[in-house]
Amino acid sequence: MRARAALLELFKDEREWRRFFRSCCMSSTHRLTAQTSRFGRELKDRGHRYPAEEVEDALLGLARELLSKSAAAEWDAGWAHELCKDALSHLGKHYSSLSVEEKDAVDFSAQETWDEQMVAAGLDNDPAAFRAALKSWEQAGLEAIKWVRVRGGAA
Amino acid sequence: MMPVEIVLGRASNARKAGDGWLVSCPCPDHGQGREDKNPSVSVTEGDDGRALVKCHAGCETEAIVIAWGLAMDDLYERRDGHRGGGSYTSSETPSTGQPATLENYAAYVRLPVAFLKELGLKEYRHLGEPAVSMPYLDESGENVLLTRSRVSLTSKPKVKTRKGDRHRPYGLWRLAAAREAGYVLLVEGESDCHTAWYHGVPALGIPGANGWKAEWAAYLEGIERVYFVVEDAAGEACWRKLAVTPELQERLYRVELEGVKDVSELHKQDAEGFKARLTKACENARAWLDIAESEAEERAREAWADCGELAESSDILAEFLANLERCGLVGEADNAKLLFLAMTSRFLEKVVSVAVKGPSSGGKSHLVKLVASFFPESAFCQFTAMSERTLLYTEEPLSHRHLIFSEAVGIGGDFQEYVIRTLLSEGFMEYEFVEKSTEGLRPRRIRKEGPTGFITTTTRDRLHAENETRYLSITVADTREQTRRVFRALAEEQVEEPDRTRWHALQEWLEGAEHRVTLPYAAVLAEKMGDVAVRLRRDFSVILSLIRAHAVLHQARRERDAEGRVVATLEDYSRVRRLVARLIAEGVEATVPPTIRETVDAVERTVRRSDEDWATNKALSEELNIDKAAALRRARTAIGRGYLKNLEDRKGRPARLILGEAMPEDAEILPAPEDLGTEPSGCAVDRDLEGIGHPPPPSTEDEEVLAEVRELFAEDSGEEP
Repeated sequence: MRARAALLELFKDEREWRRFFRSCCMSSTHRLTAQTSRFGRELKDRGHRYPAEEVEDALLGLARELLSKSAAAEWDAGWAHELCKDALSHLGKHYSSLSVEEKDAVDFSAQETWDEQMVAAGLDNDPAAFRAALKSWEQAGLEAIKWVRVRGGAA
Repeated sequence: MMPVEIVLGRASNARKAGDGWLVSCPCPDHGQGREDKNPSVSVTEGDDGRALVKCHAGCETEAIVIAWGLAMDDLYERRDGHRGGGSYTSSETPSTGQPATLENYAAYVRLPVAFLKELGLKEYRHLGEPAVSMPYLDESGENVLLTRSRVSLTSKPKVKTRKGDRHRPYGLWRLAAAREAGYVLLVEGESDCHTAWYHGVPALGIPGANGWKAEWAAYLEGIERVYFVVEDAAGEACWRKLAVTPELQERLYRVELEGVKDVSELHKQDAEGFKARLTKACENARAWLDIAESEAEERAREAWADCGELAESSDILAEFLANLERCGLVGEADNAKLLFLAMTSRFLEKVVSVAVKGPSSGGKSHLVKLVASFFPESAFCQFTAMSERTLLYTEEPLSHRHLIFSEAVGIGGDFQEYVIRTLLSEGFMEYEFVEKSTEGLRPRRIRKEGPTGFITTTTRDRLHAENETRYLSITVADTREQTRRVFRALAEEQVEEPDRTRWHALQEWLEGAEHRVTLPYAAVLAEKMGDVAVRLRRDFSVILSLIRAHAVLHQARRERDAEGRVVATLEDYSRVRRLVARLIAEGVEATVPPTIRETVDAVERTVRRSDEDWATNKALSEELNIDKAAALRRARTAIGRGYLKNLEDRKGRPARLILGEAMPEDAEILPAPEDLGTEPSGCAVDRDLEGIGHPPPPSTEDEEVLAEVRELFAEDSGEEP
């Protein structure tokens, strides 16, 4: 059973959790994502253990499916910005370790397709797809850096 | 006899251990009431002959000494016939008798000396007494912002700050670890920080039990969860300060440690189980949002008991006016109602600001004061005196509040006008400046959260040009008839003042009630309002806010939409229209205020009758039957609008008033309510959701459960008020 299904079971069984979920959704995306660990712990107590990211994506998805007019169901640029910031910072660390020649030679064009998918996910208001595209975007960037390093700037 | 010998004479089970002795602890509570079978009190002799006593199970030295039937003085060598600590005895540490050396501090908090040294703690002498210095490093960990000193282990003051040093949170240089962990523990003081860090728990110390400053929230940026450990009454006060820090609210959690005072105490009591117990306490922590929600519900229940009948009235403003008249207010019905609605608009994102204009002693302040008396103090803040920068430095919350002041208390400086304008237009205000500190010149930023409304009284015809358009201007009556009415009211016997409790309760209930309003006719209204002037754009938002405020006020009798928003009715618009139609038309000069029309007509009549080609101010005041100051004020307004001209341009000479441009015919700016229809085709709130995509379709395997859960959510929503 995936996190989404487990959360649906939880909401089916527990009115209090439905109320809490609604209250989070009505406040903001930030409040909902800040409560991810709380939902995660409850699922764990019920015998399901999921990575926090999966629970967060499932919560954001359910906000769109169950409470489509709530604040948390809207596309949250701040949330996306935080994810991008982390990815950029990670990529930046690797990039800064390159020599001047390597920096000139590195080719990030493989990221473009993921870049487009991130934009599409944003337009579709699909946080899970956005996160997946961002991860691939980051991976493509890391591979490009690794490649140029292996080739010593001759790539 | 040396102090050590005195101690050993009283102690039991003494045996030699290293340079000193181990003896049984005499405290009855030792080991949770179990006897100290394995001696755990060390007794050694200090360099100056004093007896150093320490129970490794944590019993207070004073308690041990008392249990032995001794006094703390007995631990010190007798000099000149007197016991006493000599230069090593701090007068501020009577309860432990132990000077604040690093070793004693380490023993007191039960942490290794080496660990404390790693944190930069050092022993030094403060005013001749031992003390431990604790450096406060900046976020980089490279610069010392200030150094505080632990001068006593148990007595107050335990910690001293050097004069001139500004307090900061303790542990800024360790916040990177908190960001990584996704949480931070806010604790009181340094020793709790030391304990938390020792256990690998990210923590930040607030200096003093109630020393939190809102500007410190910036340090906690990027940390997902902020746990505050509530210790005692002072901790409660600190919690309240944290709870009103907007940047923290959504990620703030309240932690209560069962059975122990604080983090340090938890460690002393159960060092091994510390992490598990703290984790459990954090898991059980209550989110501020949940606490605020339940407190608000409770407050709303109590308030409703007092105001239910009033809240269900079909015309609350009419009841308000009836109550106001019992307070002696005469002839200002519409202005009073508008002020009441403006003050109720504080719940909205666009708060209505009002400028009450009129001649000196015209009753402007009295009107504002009287209306404000029907609101609880949380709704407004009245300044009786203020400098240009008061709004920057005030600790009063400005968010969703009205600030009331008059020109007489100092409003009007350019800087203050700028602050007000920024708060009015942006909904918040940020100001950065450089201040002198012990570390040199440092930039400091102040941020004040809005939205904030202003109510100001002024004798000026117009406010600062940039601010004028942001206020709704109302003018108090200046006629002699009005003055007579006021005198009559004053002369009448004092009637019974209305009970304001239910009015305050009404506002408190509204505070926790619904503030989102949907106006089904907003789009139609926008279309039908003539685009007379740029100014109208702001007026339109003022009108919408007033309609929303009226709907919020009458929400007990209004329907809700599927999202729970209050649905404004045409009645809300109709009543607001009656109050503001004339003001709005006058504001955009689509119509001429009756007083100005009357004044221009009076000049025309006077000139026609007079031998001169102009009218003096004296003649005008006689013609209008108002006093000279009021006539002058009216004439100035008419001149400002071009309907009159003053031929006299020399100062101090009587005015020579002649007719100027022709006055326009009155035009209706606000459409009649019946013109708006009842079709909810132009719901303004729904329009805000345009451009947001539809949610993705549910995956097939869970569709049935999803449909079931969706129904449950719908049912829940139906059950909730």
